[in-house]
Amino acid sequence: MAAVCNFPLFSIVLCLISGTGSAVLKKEAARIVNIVLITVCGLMSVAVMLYCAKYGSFTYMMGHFPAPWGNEVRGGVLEGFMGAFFCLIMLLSMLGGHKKLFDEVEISKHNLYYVLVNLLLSSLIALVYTNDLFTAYVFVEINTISACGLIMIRQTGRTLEAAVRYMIMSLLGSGLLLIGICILYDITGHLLMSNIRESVEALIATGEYREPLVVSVALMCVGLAIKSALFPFHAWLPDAYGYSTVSSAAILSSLVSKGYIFLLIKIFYRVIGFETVCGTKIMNVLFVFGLIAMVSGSVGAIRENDIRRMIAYSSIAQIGYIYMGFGMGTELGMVASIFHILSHAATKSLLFIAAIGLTDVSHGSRAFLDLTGSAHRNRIAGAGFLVGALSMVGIPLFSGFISKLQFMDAAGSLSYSKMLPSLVVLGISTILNAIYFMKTVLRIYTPAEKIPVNRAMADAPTVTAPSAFHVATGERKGINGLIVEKDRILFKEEAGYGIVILCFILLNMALGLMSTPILQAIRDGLSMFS
Amino acid sequence: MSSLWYAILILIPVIGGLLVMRIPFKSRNAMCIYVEVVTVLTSVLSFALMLNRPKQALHVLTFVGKFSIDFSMDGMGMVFAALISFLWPLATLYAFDYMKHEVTENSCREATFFAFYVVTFGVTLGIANAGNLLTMYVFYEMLTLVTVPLIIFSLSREATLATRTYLYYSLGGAGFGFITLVFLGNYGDSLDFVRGGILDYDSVKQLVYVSQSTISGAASTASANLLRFIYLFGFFGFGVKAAVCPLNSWLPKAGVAPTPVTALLHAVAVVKSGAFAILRITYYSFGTELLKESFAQFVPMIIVIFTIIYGCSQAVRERHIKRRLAYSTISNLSYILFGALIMTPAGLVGALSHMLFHGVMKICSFFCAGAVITGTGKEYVYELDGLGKKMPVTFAAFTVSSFALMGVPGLCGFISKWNLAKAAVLSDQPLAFAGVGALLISALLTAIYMLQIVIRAYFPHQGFRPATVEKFHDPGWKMLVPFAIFMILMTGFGLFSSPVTALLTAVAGGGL
Repeated sequence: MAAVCNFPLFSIVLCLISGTGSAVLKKEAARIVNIVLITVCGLMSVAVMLYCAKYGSFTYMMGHFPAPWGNEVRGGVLEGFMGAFFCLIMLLSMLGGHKKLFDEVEISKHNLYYVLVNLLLSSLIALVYTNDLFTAYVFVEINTISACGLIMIRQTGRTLEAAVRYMIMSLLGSGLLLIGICILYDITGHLLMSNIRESVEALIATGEYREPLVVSVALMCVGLAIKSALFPFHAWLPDAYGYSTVSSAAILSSLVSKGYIFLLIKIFYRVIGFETVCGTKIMNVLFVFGLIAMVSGSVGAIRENDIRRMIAYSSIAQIGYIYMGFGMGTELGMVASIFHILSHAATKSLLFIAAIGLTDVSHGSRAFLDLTGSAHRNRIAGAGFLVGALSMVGIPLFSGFISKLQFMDAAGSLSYSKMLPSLVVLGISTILNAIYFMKTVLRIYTPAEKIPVNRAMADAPTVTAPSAFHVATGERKGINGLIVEKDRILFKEEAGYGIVILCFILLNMALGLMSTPILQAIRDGLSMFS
Repeated sequence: MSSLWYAILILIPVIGGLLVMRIPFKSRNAMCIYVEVVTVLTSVLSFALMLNRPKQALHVLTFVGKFSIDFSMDGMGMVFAALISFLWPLATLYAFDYMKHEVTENSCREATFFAFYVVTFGVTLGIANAGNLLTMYVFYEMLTLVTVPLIIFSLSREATLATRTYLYYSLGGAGFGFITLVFLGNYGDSLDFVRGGILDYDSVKQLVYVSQSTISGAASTASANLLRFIYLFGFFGFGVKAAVCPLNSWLPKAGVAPTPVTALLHAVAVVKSGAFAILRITYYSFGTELLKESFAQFVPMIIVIFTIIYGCSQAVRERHIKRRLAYSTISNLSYILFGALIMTPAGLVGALSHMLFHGVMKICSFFCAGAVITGTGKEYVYELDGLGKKMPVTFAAFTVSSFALMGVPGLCGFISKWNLAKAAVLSDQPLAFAGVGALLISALLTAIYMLQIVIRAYFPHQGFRPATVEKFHDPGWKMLVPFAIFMILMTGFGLFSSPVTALLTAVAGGGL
């Protein structure tokens, strides 16, 4: 057994230790520990991925105890890839939002923030690698608790309310998941995924316990759907993403919900068996709710007048895409969904980080009217938002285009009753995405001199006549006292932030232009699952 | 020539255009000269490529599987490339004079304008030279995006709203066109443009077996019907840019853009690329075999015939000159689509010839309208009294283009209408006959809305005081040169049309 096989366990343990350790560290030290930790975990996952691509998947028994007593970790191409990708996104989100964190969170609580992030990372990695259903449940709970803390650590009324809502919905989801696992344990007598799989196959062959099996799958689906904010259970999401500090929002939207979804994929493939799941009607239910989510999320985003909440609503639509891909019940649909997990993670965190740059140069206001021209005041944030928006709309060269392509491809080989709805909804959803993202892009790129006069008058009684406004040369003159020279952020003033945005943009384009190997890795990983 | 020239052809205007914003020009003239040089260089290169076409296609990158970016030039791409390569330098020349009036205090915005004006040239050439459907789609989306700064130029509330409408319509339409593209990728041999279509009927049949266990006899009709249905997605998706009737409202609104944009983009480049895309998917991707004599032909044709009449009657109602011309464009674009939907080689000849000739006629009339608007500040038809004598060249050009649009023999509009009507009659379909009727009605309505302007200009109403127009005069040479060239072209093509028609027939037959 190669040393690489220890890496998944190492990274989980490392996260747990540094998580507890950070509680007594100073904030800078905690920050450095956190950055190093994420990097190391990411590198370990890369190593796992490369190892598995060469030698195939492996199962690691903790302490070398066999099944009923011991706990297992499993590594494969897809697990390694997901682990590495999650670490990368988390690293970028932490780096991009740390300045804001210092403004928004009390000084004494900074190291606690890093405790939460480290614990969250441990739970994500555990969800990715674990081969044991009950371990998965335990880490789902750790994930919930730390996510709740991430929302609440910025203490305003809205975040407290959001955190309570999140807590209630999430615990409901965990409860349902737990009941599902219990029922499955009842009828199979196992908790290890591979063992359950064997028993389930035997049960299917004999035709016993059909109903309890379906009920258990349904409960697990619903539980994880609630936690990842599928359509009717999304009410907690806009506030949670919209008001928490920006790193939290980026991590929550692109990683936490994706961790649950990845667990669901593992349940489909490794626990129940994909064919069996598709044989039940559960997939059709997911499909329908996915479609409704795609439309209703976008409609919610269109009606929103707050940029952060708009991005949050857009997440609901994107989660809908992922569940629609599951609901297709084909390998192609699954590949499309997994690619969309990546694409959405890369894009949504970029949008959140870019949005914070835009609101910062608009006196912290998130209302659209105040964001006018903000892309000129903070160029790099504007570019980041533009790329994110184009990717979400599905413009070629960016990652969103490839996921749209994959979804359409998958839809093309379905039966008519699923093909036409999914095609039409994909088309409509493109229009809706275009409406709210392009509206915002136009708004942030319209120079600020066009702020309606009456508003300018109301805000600043001593208005000087609107003078020449040179966008390209940077000769700016304050026209209404609202936005003046010092608001403009140059790249070199915030190099760290700029570099993070650049990395996100590159990541997005890499997903968009070099998708063939990634898709291949996803397919390999899925075939290794079973 | 080496196939790498395709990439160079597109990169010159894109990079050259973006540089306009970066180079610190000493004066406005220097910038104008630079812009014109880049445009002319691109045009020359484009024509050179047409004369010696590279033997191979240029492969740039592969997204996934069949979905790759390739460039190559076939007959139809050549026709479109020739049209835009010819018009772009003239339109740029015109824009130098025009934009002087739009921009008063700020030269930066003007640099941005010209930058995107040139970039758009490169992107449109990308559509013309696309070797497969995906490449065309990629540039089609790019075209939507790079024209946004041009439409929103004035930054007024009206312009912002118009830009939004344009974006929503175009991106949404492309979203539906994309469905068609993915289907063709799945059930075709490749996405390349092949005259007669690329569908692989074996895999199409499998589709139905996979999807539902129909009786084997019904299988082929069911799958064919599905594909026809998908064609409708493509038709209406790409039809957004070609302003097919229920999806046309963005075009008149976009008239708030500066006239060089309205003239070149909303009469030629953007809208014609919509029509071009429909021609491509009809003749080169699905193939007319599948679509002919089915609902995939009849439904769009009814809508197109309706649009022909609708556009004209809206134009008669409209008082604003540019919006009137925009409605006229809507009607004329449907002429092209009508030719496409006849689904015979003759129909394609009709469509292509109207695409060429309408480009020249409409850009000419828009330029005249723009010259009047900047020269006199008058934007409505009822304000034009007596201007004919004061702006003789402008109104001569406008009159010629009006007659050409009506289809008076001896001018180019007649030739394309003749080709369309001939193809419709030869096709022997009842709906096509109805289309001929629509062409006739539309000619009458065109006469009403165009000649109303001409008559007002030359024969003012009673009580008109010549003193009110005393101070107006023809614009400078940068505007007059394009007028002269367009007038010569309209008459030239009208009188000596046989080489053009022969060329287009060869293209439509798949010979070029």
